[in-house]
Amino acid sequence: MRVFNKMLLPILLISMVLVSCSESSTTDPIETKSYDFTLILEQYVDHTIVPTYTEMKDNAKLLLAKVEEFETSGAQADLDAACEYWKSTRAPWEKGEAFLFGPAAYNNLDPLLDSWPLDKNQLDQVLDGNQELSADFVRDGLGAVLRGFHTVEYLLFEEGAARDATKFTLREKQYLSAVSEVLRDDTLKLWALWEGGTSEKSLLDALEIEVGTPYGEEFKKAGNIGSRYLSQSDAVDEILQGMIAIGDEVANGKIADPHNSNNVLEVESWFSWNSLTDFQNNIRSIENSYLGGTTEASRQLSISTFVKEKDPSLDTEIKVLITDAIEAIGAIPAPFRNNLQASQVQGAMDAVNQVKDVIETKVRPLIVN
Amino acid sequence: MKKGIPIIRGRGQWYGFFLLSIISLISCEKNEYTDMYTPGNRLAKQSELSAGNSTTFTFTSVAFDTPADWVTGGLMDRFLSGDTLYDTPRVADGNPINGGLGPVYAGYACGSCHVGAGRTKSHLLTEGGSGPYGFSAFLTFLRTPNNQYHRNYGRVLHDQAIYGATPEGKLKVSYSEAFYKFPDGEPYSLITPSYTITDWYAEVIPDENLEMSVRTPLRHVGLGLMMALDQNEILALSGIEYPEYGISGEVNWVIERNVKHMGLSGHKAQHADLTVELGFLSDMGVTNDRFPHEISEGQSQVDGDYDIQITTKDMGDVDFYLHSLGVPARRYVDNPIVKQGEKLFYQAKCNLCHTPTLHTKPGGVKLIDGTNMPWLGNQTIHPYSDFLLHDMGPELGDDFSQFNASGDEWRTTPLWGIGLQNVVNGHTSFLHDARARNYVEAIMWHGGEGDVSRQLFKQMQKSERDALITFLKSL
Repeated sequence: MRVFNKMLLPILLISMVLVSCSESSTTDPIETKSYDFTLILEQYVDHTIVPTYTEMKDNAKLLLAKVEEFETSGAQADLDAACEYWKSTRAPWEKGEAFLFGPAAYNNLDPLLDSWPLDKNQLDQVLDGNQELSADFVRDGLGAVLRGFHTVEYLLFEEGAARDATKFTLREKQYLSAVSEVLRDDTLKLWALWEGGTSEKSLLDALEIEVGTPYGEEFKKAGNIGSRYLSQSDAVDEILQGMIAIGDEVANGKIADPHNSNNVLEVESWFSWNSLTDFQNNIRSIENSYLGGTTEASRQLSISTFVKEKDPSLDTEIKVLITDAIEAIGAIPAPFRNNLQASQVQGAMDAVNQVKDVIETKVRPLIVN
Repeated sequence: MKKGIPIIRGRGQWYGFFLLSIISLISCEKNEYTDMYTPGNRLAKQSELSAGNSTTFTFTSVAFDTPADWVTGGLMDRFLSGDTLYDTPRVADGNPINGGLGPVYAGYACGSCHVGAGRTKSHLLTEGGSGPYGFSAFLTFLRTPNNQYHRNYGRVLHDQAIYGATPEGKLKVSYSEAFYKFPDGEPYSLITPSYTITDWYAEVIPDENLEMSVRTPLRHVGLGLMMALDQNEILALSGIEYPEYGISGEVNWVIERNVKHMGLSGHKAQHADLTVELGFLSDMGVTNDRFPHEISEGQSQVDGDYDIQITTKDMGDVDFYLHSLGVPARRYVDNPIVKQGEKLFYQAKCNLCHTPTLHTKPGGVKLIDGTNMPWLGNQTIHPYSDFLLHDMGPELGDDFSQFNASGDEWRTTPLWGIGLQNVVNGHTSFLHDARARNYVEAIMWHGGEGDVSRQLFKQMQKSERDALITFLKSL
């Protein structure tokens, strides 16, 4: 195991690496090290990001299979099961919203998977139309606001529960299958771009998804040849910025916007009444980024390790604030869409903002000099 | 701790040389800068401060999308509102929120083509032209040889459409590749695009009646400071000529709202403002109080009038957001390779157009909605641009003149933030249509007034070329 007491030395290690400037995928030249984050970055990629996206694409496969069964059977039981698979696919997506940089951003996968609001008006027109409703049509013929989690959600759910299976039209079933297939493909792509995708090569080839150098490998090499991050601290700050961004979005967007406007239509995931679970999972994405891993058993070296070495009380404070934020969101009566003005809402926003603020004002200064 | 610089008014070549000398001296004068502290509470070096008090210390995927430090309190509320409006997809009319998209459009949000306030990787490179799902990350400007819009198509080709409407057409691109070597034997190649429009929804426009220009998104770095520029300084720069290098910059004087302005934004400096209202209308089909009529109004597939689809307040918030974005600090300023590269940047005369240091005017900016932004004023900034037009040679020309800008003329692209484009947007494609796939190609595409720099770069040793590019990555 790498010894981490280098940080105690008041010595800056400066390494300079020259690389070919004509290669667009490799950057850089220089790194200034004050701490060796190598293992922390490895743990973050291998034990936080990759497991999250593996779970998502695996569950998306199950969702697609069940939706296709439902298209054939029309059975309520299949529809009910599909709803559960939607939730189990949705959960890792929300637990990944602290790391939407890199592949998700470069390949437009965030809007393709999670555009909100849903363009219900256009969707209704598509369903009333006469085009063949295939995955190709959804993928190439329609925009981001007619695919992804919320389109599937709209088709599966009503008032927080599975719809009445007998009220599905044939075209609704066809669109549900098509859009679930595209969702599977997009989750597969996101996973593969981070992980490499070797174990799904045949499917990736069939979908003509080119992976290239896995982004996870590049991220782990921050500060070295083959990474666009000039230093490890830039990569660690990327993790922190992801945590700050989703904290800000939950507190000051996802919760605050509908609370302030009192407009239920601004509530994300309201067809399934899954909003509060979404928000809690967003804070878990912060927790998993900070503590490393996705389960207690998989938590090893992490940013928490670094912070604890620098300031044990700060590390404790952050852990408590994260736990408090998850609980504060959970204290809002469900469904959120019916409780926009509940007394617990402000407390939840405050608790999440405290998480965001402590990372911004106390952790970043330890990283960004 | 801000201090202004002495502003000297005047025109002419000699004045220009004099002003440049002053600028050169000022760039070494430490106390002309604002004191700024990093997140780690280190007093930033003056050479790190790209944009005075709007300098930020974020070098990640949100490097271009981070507010300046002075954005606090109520200003932050407006910033966040503008940021949300910038990024949230517009949807078709008939939906309860965020309506107005289309019926034809080029992108469904500002942020679709400007992910992270940067430049999304163009579908020219990933899809061979128009994107299949909602945006393409380029615009195709269209007109007749007589500078008129084609009635059925309008200002730009809207290659996307809401369900039930038909895209105006699809752009296809093919590339021919030519291979070269530097004198020291290192190979490089340049790809030249060839554009074709297919799937015209109405009449096919024959080549002889079509002028077109394909342009990819610009980084939204430092826009507020650009709008706050001391325009007298830009004017002075336009008075400077370097006949020995064939370099002379020109202001693009543009007419907006029937008033003559100095053009600053856009690939040809063809706009005097940040084009928020125009972008919402022309790129997304969202009508607003400045442009209340659909850009596609009059087309055979557009039925009737549309209401105003976004409020004036929302437009103001997006404008405020763009003005308030910070500029990432320069990095590794003391690294010897970076310093060598900086020296070579000057030796290659890049600085004659990519002007390192400019200043903003006292008082900053007043937005159209009356918002005063004094924080943008009296700043010493390092955009690495003179914001002037330069003839870049026929190889880069598009035969698409706009106001004073001829087909071969382009505005000097500001280089601040360029080193972080690969982090924010995941690519190193440069120039107006993203034909340059990396820094080397971008430099080697410089013709016309840029040829002197191209030739000097070409004659460098590889280690020197690498150092110069390492310097660019520090910006």
